[in-house]
Amino acid sequence: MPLVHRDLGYHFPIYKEGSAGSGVKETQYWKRIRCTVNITDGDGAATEDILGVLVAPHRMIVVAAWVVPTEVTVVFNAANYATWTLYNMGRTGGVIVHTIGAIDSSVASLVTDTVTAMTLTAYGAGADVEFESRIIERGEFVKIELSKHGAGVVAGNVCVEMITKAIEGHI
Amino acid sequence: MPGRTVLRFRDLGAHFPVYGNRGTFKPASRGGGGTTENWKRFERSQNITDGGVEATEDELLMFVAPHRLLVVAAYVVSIDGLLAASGLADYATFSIVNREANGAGIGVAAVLDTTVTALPQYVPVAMTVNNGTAAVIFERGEVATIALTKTGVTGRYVEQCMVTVIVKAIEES
Repeated sequence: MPLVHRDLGYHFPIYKEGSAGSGVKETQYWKRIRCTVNITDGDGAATEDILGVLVAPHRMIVVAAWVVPTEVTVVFNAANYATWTLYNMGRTGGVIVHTIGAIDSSVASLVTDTVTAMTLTAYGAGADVEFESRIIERGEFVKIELSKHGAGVVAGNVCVEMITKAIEGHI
Repeated sequence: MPGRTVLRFRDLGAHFPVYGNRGTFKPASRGGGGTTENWKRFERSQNITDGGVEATEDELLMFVAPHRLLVVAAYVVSIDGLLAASGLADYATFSIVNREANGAGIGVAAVLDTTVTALPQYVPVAMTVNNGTAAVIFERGEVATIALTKTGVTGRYVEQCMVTVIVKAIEES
């Protein structure tokens, strides 16, 4: 018996944000995608690494990203610290198209098993589209890079999460 | 600001008009003359590595299907550098395996090897989806894995690679 591949559209209310107070009730059905990767320095203070996060299945915007150290507290130090950065490498790779967001341990410690939000970039260099640096076009590749500064710091395993939602073109 | 374009992020709601195929399907629930398909799609990504050792193989979980799914595309991205094509003697193969619900496996949904295909750093390279085979359809609860296997005397080291699979929800007839 042949398969019929039907549009399921309306039947996946992944996120509801309803009833915003008196009068107006509104339900939104944003499609969101969550990406999680674990990046580690193997307890080496100077060790850095890069991992892939996703290839975008369609146009998306990054709405939140955070890091969670799962082994040790990454102690803050203004000279010797670690940085986690999300980069959009585009479709052709090799060149950083946008810096999506970043967090480092130069000012505050990152506490074990505690969520710390990454700072998302407001705009890309020379951007003429609002939030351009946070937009991932279909087929573009996102990576997470762990880099160290000065003598570095032991970070152990760190879980990095990025939340995106599907968007339409600009008007 | 002159020349500035302001995005309007609209609730995609019932519509998800991410993929449109004109005139190919009209959702009955909406009526009218619609020509847009609103497939639900999602992606899963997994980083797999051989630690830079030619003969080392691995297999990792991609997803457990939350409902009936069809594989529509898959990519491999080299993270640590350019991987030149390695020829037929010693090469690496990336396979997205349909392992059913019990882990037994019924086939390969998508595959890519390094015999003739180079993997540039940070560039998604499409895997070949085995359309028309049972393996590309994942029933609810079935397990998809990414398997890195080596062929030849020494194999082929690949270091870290990210594998992404994009699926869409389907119904039965």
